[in-house]
Amino acid sequence: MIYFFWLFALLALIGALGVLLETHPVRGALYLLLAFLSIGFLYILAGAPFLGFVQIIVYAGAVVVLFLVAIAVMSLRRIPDDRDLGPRGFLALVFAGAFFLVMLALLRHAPVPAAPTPTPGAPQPLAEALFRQYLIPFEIVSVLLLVAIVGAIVLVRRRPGP
Amino acid sequence: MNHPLLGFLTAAGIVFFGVLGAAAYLVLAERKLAGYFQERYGPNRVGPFGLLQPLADLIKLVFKEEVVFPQSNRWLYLLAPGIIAVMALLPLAVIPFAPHFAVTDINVALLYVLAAASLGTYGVLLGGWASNNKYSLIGGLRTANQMISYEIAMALALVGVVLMAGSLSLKDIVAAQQHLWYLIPQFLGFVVFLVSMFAETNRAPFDLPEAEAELVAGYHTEYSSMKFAMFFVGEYIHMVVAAALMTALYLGGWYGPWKPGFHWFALKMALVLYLMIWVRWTYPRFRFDQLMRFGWKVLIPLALVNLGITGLVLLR
Amino acid sequence: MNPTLYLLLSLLLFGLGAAGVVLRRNTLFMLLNLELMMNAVGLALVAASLAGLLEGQLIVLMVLAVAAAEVAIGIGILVSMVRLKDSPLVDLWNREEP
Repeated sequence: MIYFFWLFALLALIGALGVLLETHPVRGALYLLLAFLSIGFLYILAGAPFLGFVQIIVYAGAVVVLFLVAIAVMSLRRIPDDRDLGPRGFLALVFAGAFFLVMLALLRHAPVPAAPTPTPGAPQPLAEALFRQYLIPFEIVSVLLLVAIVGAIVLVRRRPGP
Repeated sequence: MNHPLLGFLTAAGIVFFGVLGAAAYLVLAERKLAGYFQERYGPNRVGPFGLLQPLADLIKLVFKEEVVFPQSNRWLYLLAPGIIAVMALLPLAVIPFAPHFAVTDINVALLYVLAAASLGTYGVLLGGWASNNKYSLIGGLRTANQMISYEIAMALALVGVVLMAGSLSLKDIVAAQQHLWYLIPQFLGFVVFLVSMFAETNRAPFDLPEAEAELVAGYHTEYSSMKFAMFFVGEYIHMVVAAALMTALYLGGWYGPWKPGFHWFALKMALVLYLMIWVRWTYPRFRFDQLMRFGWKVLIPLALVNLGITGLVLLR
Repeated sequence: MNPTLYLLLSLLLFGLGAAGVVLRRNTLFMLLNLELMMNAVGLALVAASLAGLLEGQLIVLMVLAVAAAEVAIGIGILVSMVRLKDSPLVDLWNREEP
C-alpha cells in the first residue's frame, strides 16, 4: 500500500511541476490531468473511494476537458516566456517559500494521532451526514453552481452590436 | 492453487477474452444485419456464412502500413487509441455476469463506470488534437462536447436506479431486481439512459464525431493499421459494455422466468445489441445543434423529472 | 496510511501551485495552478478524514463543487480576455500610468 502511495505522490508532484513549468497550453493541461488522477487514486488509497471516483469524474473527466476545449476553441498558442522572473516574481517566490516553511514548521508540531482510525469508506455514512446534518451547506453549494452556470453564460455571450 | 489472486486473474481473463471475441463477432453481426436491412447478403465469402470474416479483418488490419505523420504530436498520437480501448474495457471489471461471477464487486461500482466513461473522452480529444488535422480536431471537439453533455443525462438517469436499489454496487442493483425489473418503474430513466448510451458509444444517430460526409472520418482520419483497429475495436467493446450495463441496470441482469443464470444475461445483451444495430441502420444522423439542443433541453429535463418522481414515490 | 505523509504531500502541491499562480503571467496557467491548489487542500482534508473525521470528506465534496463553479467562471473570464486583447497575458491589463 505504501508503495502505491509513493508512486502516486511522485506522479502528482511531476504533474504539479509540469503545470508550474510547462509553457505549452495543451501539455500544461495534461500535466494537470496527471496530478488530478494521482490525487484521485490517493483518495482511494486513503479509504475514500467515493471521493476518489468523484474526483476523477469531476476534475479529470470534466474540468480538464473543459480546459482543453477552451484551448482548442481559442486556438491558444505557446507563449514562450510568460514566467515573471523580475524582482516582482522573485519577491513572490520568497513569500511563497516563506509560507511553505511556516506551514512545514506547523506540520511538525501538529497533533496528528499516532494510530489513525480510518472512517468507513462506504458511501452510505457520507450520504447520511451530507443529507441530514449538512443539508443546508449542500443546498447552498447547489445554488452556487447554478449561479456559476448563469454567470459563465452571461460572461461569454456575444452581445448584439449597437 | 487457491490463492485469491488466481481466481481474480482467471475471472479477468475469461471476461477479457470473452468480450474481445464478442466484439469481433459483433462487427460481423453488424455487417450481416446491415446487409439484411439493405436487402443484400453481407459478408459471406470467408468461411461458412462468413463466420471467419473477423479473422480476415484482423489479418488485413495488422498488415496495413503504419503511418505516423511528422507534424503530429507523436506521443499523444500513439497514446490516444490505447486510451479508448482501455477505458472501454475498464467497466467490465465490475459487471456481474452471473449470480456468482464478476471480476470484482466494489461498493462504488457505478461511479467507477462513470469515471471510466468520462476518461474515455480523452482518447478522442487527444487523438483529434495530436493528428494536427482540422477535420480530426473538429471531430475530437464535437465528441468532447457530446460526451460531456450526454454523460450528465446518463448520470442523472442512473441516480433513479441508485435511489431504488439503495446501493451503488452493480451486484446489489441486480439482486434488487429479482421480482421487478427496473425497466418498468424506471421506464423514463431507461429511455434517457438508452439514448445517452447511443451518444456515449458515438453511434448513429449520434455519430457526429466521425460524420464522414463532413469530416472525412473525424478523429481517426489520420490513423491506420493497428492504431485504427484499436479505435474500431474500442467502439465495439464500448457497445458490448453498454449492453451489459443496460442489462444489469434495467433488464434484471441474470434473472429470468426460469433458472437464473448467465444465459439470461447473454440473451438480454444480444437483444440490446440488436436494437443498437437496428437503430444505426434505420435513422439518419442528427445535426450538431440539434444534438446539443436535444441533449440539454429534452434528455436532461426528462432525467430530472424521472429523478423527481422516483424521489417522491420513495419518500411517500 | 499515515496522515502526516498526506499532509506533507498536500503542502508540497499547494506550494507548487501557489508559486505557479504568482510566477506565471498566462491566465490559462494561473487557472491551472489555482485548480492544483484546490486539490492540494482536498488532499489535506482527506488526511483529516484518515485521522477519523468524516467531515473532512464532506468538505472535499463542497470544495469540488466550488472548484467546478470557479472553473466555469474562470474560463469565461479567460475567453472574454482573449476576445478583447487577443492574448491571455495578464500584463496587458495593467492600468496605464496617467
